[in-house]
Amino acid sequence: MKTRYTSLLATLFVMAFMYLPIVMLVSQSFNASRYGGRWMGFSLKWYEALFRDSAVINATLNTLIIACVSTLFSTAIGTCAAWVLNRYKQSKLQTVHYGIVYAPLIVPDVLMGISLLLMFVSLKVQLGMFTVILAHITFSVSFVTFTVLARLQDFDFNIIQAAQDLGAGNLRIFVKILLPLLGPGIASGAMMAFTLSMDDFVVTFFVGGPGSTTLPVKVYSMMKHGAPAIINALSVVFMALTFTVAILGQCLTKKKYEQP
Amino acid sequence: MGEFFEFKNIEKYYGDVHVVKNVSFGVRCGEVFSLLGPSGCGKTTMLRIAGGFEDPESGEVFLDSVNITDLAPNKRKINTVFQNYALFPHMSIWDNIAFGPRTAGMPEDQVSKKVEKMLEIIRLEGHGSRMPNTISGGQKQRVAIARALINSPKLLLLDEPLAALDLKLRQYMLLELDRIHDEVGTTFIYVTHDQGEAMSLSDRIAVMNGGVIEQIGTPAEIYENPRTKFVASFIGDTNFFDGKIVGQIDGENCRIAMDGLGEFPSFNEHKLSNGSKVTVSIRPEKFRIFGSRKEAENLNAIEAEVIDIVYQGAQTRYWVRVNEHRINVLSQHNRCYLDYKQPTWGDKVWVAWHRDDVTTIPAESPH
Repeated sequence: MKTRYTSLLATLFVMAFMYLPIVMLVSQSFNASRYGGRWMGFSLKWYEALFRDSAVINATLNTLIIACVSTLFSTAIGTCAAWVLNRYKQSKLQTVHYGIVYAPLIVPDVLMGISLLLMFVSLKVQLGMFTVILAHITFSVSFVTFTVLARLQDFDFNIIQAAQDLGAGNLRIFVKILLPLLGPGIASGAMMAFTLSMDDFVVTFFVGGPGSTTLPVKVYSMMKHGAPAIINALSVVFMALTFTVAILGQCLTKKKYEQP
Repeated sequence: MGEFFEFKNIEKYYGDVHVVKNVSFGVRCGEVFSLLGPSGCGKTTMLRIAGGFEDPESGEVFLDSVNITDLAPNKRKINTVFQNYALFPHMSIWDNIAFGPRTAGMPEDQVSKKVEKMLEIIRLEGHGSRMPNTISGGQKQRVAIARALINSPKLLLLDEPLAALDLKLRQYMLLELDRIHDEVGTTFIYVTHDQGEAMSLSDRIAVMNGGVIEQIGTPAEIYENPRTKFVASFIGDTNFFDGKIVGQIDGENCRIAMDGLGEFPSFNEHKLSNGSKVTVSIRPEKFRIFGSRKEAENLNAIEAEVIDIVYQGAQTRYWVRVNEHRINVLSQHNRCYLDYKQPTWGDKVWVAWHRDDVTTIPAESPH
C-alpha cells in the first residue's frame, strides 16, 4: 500500500507542477478583477474585450497564415531530406547532411534569431511576414526531417519491390503503398512544424517587422501596456488553439496497424 | 531445344566484386528448378536479375523465347515470393492477394472470384479480413505465394521462402509448396541454401558456388555423380581421398592408388588417363562393415578400427580409422539392431565398398 501512495503522491506533485500555472491562468481569465489576484466573481468581459480588439484578431490570423505556409514548405523539404538521408545512409556526403540537419535542433533560438536577422538586414530584405515565414521554415525543417526519418527507418522497402513485381507503376505505388504507410509519419512531422511555428516567440521577435505580429509576440507586447486580464484571456485562447492542433494531430496520425 | 526460361552469359558486378560469372542455363516449362548454393554464391542475384530488380552487366534473359532483359519488373509475366514475405502491412490478406489483379484493372467481381480461389488453394478460406500482423509465419508465407500466383505468372520466383520458418513448419510448407505446384503447374525457380529443401522439391537443381554454376542435374544425379569436389561436399556427407590413377582395367574402370589406403579398382566416369591426380569421393552409406575379409567378397575392402559409434535409430554412424584417415560410415538397420552382434569401440572390422559406388573427380576441378 505504501508504494501505491508514494506513486500517487508523485503523480499529483508532477501534475501540480506542470498544470497549476495553467489552471491559474484559465481561472484568472474568468475573474472580473482587473488586476487578478482576488476573486471578484465570474465574468466573460475580458474575452469580449479581446474579440473586439482588431489587433488581436490580426495577430491570430498572422499566426495561422505563418504556421500554415511554413508547415507546407518545411514538410515538403523535410520529407525530401529524410528520404535522401535514408536512401543513401552509407554515403559520406549524407553523414555531413545528417549533421547539418541535426545542428538547428541544438542551436539556441536566440542565436538563430540573431543570425537570421543579420542575414536579412545585410541582404536588405524587408522584415515582415515573408521573413518570419522563411525563419520558421528554417527551424521546422529539422524537426520534420527527424520525425519522417524515424518512420522511414522502420519501413520495409521490399514491399515497394513487391508492388512493382505485381505490376504496379510508380503512381500506383505512391498512392497505394507509400502514402498510406508514410502519410501518418509525414503528418506528424507537419503537426510538429505547425505547433512549433505557432509557439515561436524568440525567432519571430528578431525577424518580425511591421504587420507580422504573431500571437506570442502580441502577448509579450501586451504585457507592457495592456490590461493584464486581457492577456490572460488571450493566452487561454492561444493555448486552446495549440492544444486543438496537437490533439487533432495525435488522432490523425495514430498508427492503425503494426509493422511486421 | 528451346528452353522456356533462359539465362545467356549473365555477368554481374557489385562494385569490384564479380558476383555472377558468365552464367547460362535454361529452365523447362512446368518444372521446379532450384538454385542451390552457400550464401554469397550469386544465387539471389540471379533471381533478382530474372525478376528485373537487377540489371546484368552483360548477357540476356529470355522468357518463352522473348528477350526480356530490358523489361521493367512490372512489365514481366514473372512474380516473386520475397524472403521476408513483404506483405503490405496496411492491407488485409484479401487486399494483399487482390493487389495484382486490381492493378491490372480487373473488374471487382472477377477479382473477388480469383481471390476466393487463391484462398482456397492456400487453405486460408475465411481469413481474408485478417491483417498480416495477426497471422503466423507459415500463413504469411502462403499469402505471399497466393499474391504472387494470382496474376498467373509464366514463372514464379521464390527467394529462400522457408528460411524464416522453424523446422516443423518448414517441413510442412515444403509439402504445401509441392502441392501448390502440382495444383497450378506454374514453373518455379527456387533459391535456397538448404540442400534438403532443394532435393525434396526440385525436378532439377543448379549448384552455384562463387558466381558460377558447378553442376546442373536432377537431385539424384547431383547426389550420386557430383562433378566437382564442391558439389560432393555441399550436397550430403562424403569422404574424400586423394589419389592417382595408376592403370586402366577396361574402358570403364581404372586402378587408383589412394593415399593411405592402397590400390583399388574404381569407376572412371570422366575417362581420366594414367598419372592423373584425382579426388575420390565415397558417401558414408556406400560403405559396408564386415567382420572378416571373406564376407566382403567382390568388394573393395580394407581393415579398419572402430573409433566412434553414434546410434541414430534408423541407422548407425561409425567413425573408423585407417592409417591417417577417419572414415565416416553410415549403416542402415534393415533388421533389428539388438538381435545381431554389432561392432563396438576398438573392434577391427573390414570396411568395404563397391568400385562403382565411388566418384572420381579430377584433382584440378574445371573451375
